[in-house]
Amino acid sequence: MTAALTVTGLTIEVVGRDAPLQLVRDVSFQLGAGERLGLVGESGSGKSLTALAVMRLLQAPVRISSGQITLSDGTDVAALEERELAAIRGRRAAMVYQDPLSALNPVRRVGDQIAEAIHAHEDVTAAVARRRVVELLREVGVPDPERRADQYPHEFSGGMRQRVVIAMALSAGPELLVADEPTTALDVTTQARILELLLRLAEQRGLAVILITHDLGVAARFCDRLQVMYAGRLVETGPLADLYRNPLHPYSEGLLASVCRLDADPAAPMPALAGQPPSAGQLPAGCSFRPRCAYAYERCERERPPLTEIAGGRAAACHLAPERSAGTVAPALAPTGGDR
Amino acid sequence: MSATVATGPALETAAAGRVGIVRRLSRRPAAVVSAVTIAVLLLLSLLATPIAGSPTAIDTREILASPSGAHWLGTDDLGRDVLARTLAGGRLTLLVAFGAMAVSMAVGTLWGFVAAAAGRAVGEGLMRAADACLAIPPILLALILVAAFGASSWTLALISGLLLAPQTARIARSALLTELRSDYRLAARAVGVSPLRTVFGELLPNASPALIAQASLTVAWAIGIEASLSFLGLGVQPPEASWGTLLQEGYAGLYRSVWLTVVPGVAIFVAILAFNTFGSQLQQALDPRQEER
Amino acid sequence: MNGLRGYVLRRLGAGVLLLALASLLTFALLRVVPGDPTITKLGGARNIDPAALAELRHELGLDRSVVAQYLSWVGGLLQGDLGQSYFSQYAVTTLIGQRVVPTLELAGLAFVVGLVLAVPAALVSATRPRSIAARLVNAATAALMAAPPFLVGIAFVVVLSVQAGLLPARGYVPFVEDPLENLRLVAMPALTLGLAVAAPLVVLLRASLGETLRAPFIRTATGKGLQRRRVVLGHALPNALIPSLTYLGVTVGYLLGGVVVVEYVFGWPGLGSLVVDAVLKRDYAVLQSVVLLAVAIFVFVTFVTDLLYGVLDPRLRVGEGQP
Repeated sequence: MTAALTVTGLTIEVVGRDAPLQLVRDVSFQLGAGERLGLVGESGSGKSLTALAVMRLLQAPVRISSGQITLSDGTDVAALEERELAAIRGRRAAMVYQDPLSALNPVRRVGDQIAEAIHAHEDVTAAVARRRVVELLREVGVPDPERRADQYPHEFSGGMRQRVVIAMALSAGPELLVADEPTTALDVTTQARILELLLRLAEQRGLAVILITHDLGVAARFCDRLQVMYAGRLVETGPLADLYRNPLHPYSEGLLASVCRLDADPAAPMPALAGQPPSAGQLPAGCSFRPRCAYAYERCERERPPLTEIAGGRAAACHLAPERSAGTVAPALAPTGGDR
Repeated sequence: MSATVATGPALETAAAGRVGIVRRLSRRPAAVVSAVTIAVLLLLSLLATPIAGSPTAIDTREILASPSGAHWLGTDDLGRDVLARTLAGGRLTLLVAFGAMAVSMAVGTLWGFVAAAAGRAVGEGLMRAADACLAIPPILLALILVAAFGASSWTLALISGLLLAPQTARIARSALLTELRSDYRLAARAVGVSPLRTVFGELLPNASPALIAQASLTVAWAIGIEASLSFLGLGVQPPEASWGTLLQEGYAGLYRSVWLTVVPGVAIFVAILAFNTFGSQLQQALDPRQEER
Repeated sequence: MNGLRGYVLRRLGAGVLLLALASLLTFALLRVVPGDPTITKLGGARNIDPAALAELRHELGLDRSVVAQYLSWVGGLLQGDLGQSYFSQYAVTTLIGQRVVPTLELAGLAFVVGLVLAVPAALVSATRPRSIAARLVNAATAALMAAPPFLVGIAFVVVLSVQAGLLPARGYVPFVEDPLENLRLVAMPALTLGLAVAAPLVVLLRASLGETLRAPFIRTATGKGLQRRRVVLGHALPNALIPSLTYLGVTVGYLLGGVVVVEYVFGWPGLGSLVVDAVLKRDYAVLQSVVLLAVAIFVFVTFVTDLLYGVLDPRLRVGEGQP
């Protein structure tokens, strides 16, 4: 099976007055064709930057300092010149954004904005593009697409706007979709519908999807596999069910424990991860998660645990991961143990 | 006594803030160059006669002479020393410009402070009035004022000052509003310092860097207005001479000597550029977001 | 429907109010100060025949109360009669009529020159801020912001007329009489005024473009595979131009102010030189009407700008269904 995307040693830095600051460090992963990968973590963990880097949409002073981003045909996106990227963006990999209102140009009709994406990659007449726009809008569930195509973004509701953004992303037939918090800006019922839509489209079109989210509930409904990021690094990856059942990294465990479960005792306090993630400039020595970790011991201070394959496509960056995998470490964070 | 206790630290931080501004300015080459230029211009104007001799002395053997050891910038059509005339003209131009600045700062600061300190309705009304004044092309307003009050150095300073007052009012208001939100004013009020003392003792000193920046820009604009109106014959009246009138005289005899046009023209340009640059550099140094870059 | 008409009427009302205030202000300013414009005409304050003075004052209506004078001016204004010049024997409308064409030609050309210079300059400066071209633009803009328009004009005359002998320094020929000579004569003043208009436009557009280029929808446009050029020209520029519209009025104000001095520099017989003459001679009848005309142009441009906003920015389109 050829991978839709292979990321190797991706490091992202911000160039300031002082020495460059690394925001994402040495991230490597692979995404199979048609696979749906969830990239989860708190804000500032580097998950959105990783997603933008795949599209080469980072804006100065943030930039990729090293690493390869290889598509299924072997193209290294990280090494391309700016003008060569236009042929990749939209056509091979497309993106869905967090806030659909600001993602659309407020003064142009949505139909024109989608048609523009078609014209960017195919030499078609305006009439053909227009027909495709209407089809796309219908496919993503915009009612009355002929009329709606001539309207402006502000005339759409939030959910409808996100459908437009999705239609635009699909317009040039990409094989890889990067969805950056696509439901975060929407209300709960709309979230569910957009997620269903993305799931249906991914299945029908055989899309490989990277879903960036901080919401493990969203990830659980959508993804095959999860990757957890913390302080700019991957700390755990594994198939969804395994990771949910038995998180190997204490941070994953903490994230899962902080998910509000319907079957939990409503009187019990909401468990939450204590403390704040470190900022990129002030990472602690050893394991970045150590200051917040309930299991930390002296080795964690000396030695940063590398991301190590444990078993069955699972990997974690924790000294205790093998033991945790074997079930010989008692969980320190019970769902009710929300000590702050 | 408790007042000094409460306001002491605030004043210290204010002073520290000003020291910080000076240091930040000194790191900006454009600010340093413009500050030095301004200092040189002021010095030259003050020492005009000792440096270049009398601006009205006539040397009949040298008419429209080229620059030489005796006349560094040559002479004009009556045999007067161009350097001496330019320095003397600069003295009047700068005097008018600083006069305009004083008027603008006095009227504008009062305007802005009252607008900031007064209730919502009055404040809004005063600012709307400032907006309305800014909507009329300034040169037209200046022409009406000249027509009404007549043309002379004094009225010129007054007119330019009034013309530039609304802009100062805006800056003063926003500077003061920023200060009003600060904690030390609450502290001062809590211990019963009178509002007037608060304004002059603390708010004014703290808002002063912003006002100095505005003053510098105002001088630049005023030099432009003086030069424009005098060039039109509507400003400084002969026999008084300013850069504007020198330029007018030079321009009338342009084909006899380009020199007499170029010298005051360059002087005006350099002076405006210096005051403009210093003012905007100071403004940028005051804005931490700009400072980041 | 109702919303749109109400909006237009409100804007129109505000414009008329501003115009009325401006007329009042101009008129009052010219009357509060002691001194009589007629004295200048009769050749100075000494040796004036009181009878001749009284007759002249009566002729010009200056013996009436200020309120009556104002009402008669405004009354005439509404009928298209601006009254009589205090000095020449012409009606003010005639004087303005003679001068309006050269000024319109100069100001119109300058406006076009300003736009043509400012838009590409701002684009370069905002999209490639570290390039040499951008640094040149920024330096030129700073210099032009500092130099009053007449200085730029004089510099042109010194270099192009006196030194190089390429273009005539001053004069005017109507376009219909000698198109080529007219263009040769208008070139320098139009460029001077155009540069004066361009500098603040560059500053404005540069800031607006810089902001727009960071907007998320620009990332979307890039992300769908548009070339950088298309992103900048198709998405960033139009969106950056819309807020700059607000300054169209200010720009026209710049033009109206600049035209006065620039016309004087180049001996251009337009409204600018008319107004300078009027100030010199204290010909209030001419002065107040030309100033009011300038304010009227300003108000009109502001009004059109407001309407244009509604057309160009669909979010502000009135009367359409809002979500």
